[in-house]
Amino acid sequence: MQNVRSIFRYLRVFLIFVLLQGFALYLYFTSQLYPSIQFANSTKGISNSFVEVQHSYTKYFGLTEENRKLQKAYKTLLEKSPESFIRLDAKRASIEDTLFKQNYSYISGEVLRSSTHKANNFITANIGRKQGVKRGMGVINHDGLIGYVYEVSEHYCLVKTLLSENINIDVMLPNGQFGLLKWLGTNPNAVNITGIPNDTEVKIGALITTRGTGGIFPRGIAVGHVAEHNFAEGEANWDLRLKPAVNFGSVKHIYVVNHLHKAELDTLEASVLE
Amino acid sequence: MRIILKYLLWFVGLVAMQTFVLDNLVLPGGFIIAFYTLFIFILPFNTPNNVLMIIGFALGLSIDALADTYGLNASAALTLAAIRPRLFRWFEPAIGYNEIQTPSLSQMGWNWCIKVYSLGILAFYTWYYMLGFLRISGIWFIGSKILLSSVSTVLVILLAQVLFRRKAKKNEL
Repeated sequence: MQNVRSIFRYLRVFLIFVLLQGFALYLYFTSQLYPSIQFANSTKGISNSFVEVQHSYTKYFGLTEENRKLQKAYKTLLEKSPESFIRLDAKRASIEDTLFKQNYSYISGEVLRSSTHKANNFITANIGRKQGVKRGMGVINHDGLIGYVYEVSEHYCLVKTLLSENINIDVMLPNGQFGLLKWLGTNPNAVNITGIPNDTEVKIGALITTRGTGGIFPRGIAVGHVAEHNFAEGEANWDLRLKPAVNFGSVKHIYVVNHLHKAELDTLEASVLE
Repeated sequence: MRIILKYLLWFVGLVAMQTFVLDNLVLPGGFIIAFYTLFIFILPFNTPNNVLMIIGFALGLSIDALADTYGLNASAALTLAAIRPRLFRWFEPAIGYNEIQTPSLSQMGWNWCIKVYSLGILAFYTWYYMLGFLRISGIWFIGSKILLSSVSTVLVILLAQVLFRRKAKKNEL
């Protein structure tokens, strides 16, 4: 009898372990699938107020550097604005330019927290559904590509960065040859590109940019520079390694890319592909 | 009641310390210090196994919610809590454990603490990194991460306890 009781007690401990472990693993593995229900993360409830408090203290670090970058970005924009050009023909007035129509708009936000040393690295930012951020939108900053929006709440969003498994972003070489970007999960300063045939010439230091498919990122956003090229084993492809253009440890501001004709693009593509 | 309050403060303090300080500290090699596991070690000897596991799970889940690791810490902390009774039984002193004592450095001594903490933390990180990285990288990479993280975490935990012990003694005087 004593024995039976001790077995039951042991069984109960084991059962609780299995139950709790099952729940934890369920959370962990479902979070790896992209369109899933998230239980708890830094965009929700009590934990985002923690994150806000933390940000209110840490946002002053690196402010000088951040200002310098913003000034530089502003300067380049200013040089492109109509006021910076001399009018050659005084009689002609530009009323509305019908040759160009705005295709992308940007939503700017501040980074509340970020990580670089985990298996999946996220950035939490202070923009959300209210500001028009939606799931799956691309995210960039003035240095280059960051990732895409993974989860949105009313006032916050969670961005999955290049340093995540299954990130799979279409990128291209300067000559237009395109490949797929992946992260090996080890070094925050090395991202991999597969699918580029090894008969194309690749120079060390060449700038890799986004290809601009799927209406997530505009074409030509800097992704990184080629740091190493090796022959992929058993394939006629390069195994390229590149250093990301963005230093993920010090991202302070981000821009969420809003493709203004995304719905149109999606319905058109869906009608053909199905 | 006072005991519960004391442990509650420890819980909140460790979670805050972990998420606000240690998670932002990126060490060369990219490993992390899971200082919060100290809480699982210092719970009293007579804590029932079920309660221990639930506390471990809750602790890990609070870290997950703040650090966007989705259940990874909950799973590893739960594993640590589940093997704690077995670890303690392995290294039980000849005279047995005194129910009044807590499993801290000041009461159990260096020898016991180093053995129990090292094995526990090693198990914690083995579980943690196996889950986190197994699908995307090799065994050597994981092995080095487990070792480096374990050694640094055990050192930090012991150091913290040395500092804390000094303070406690001063208060008594």
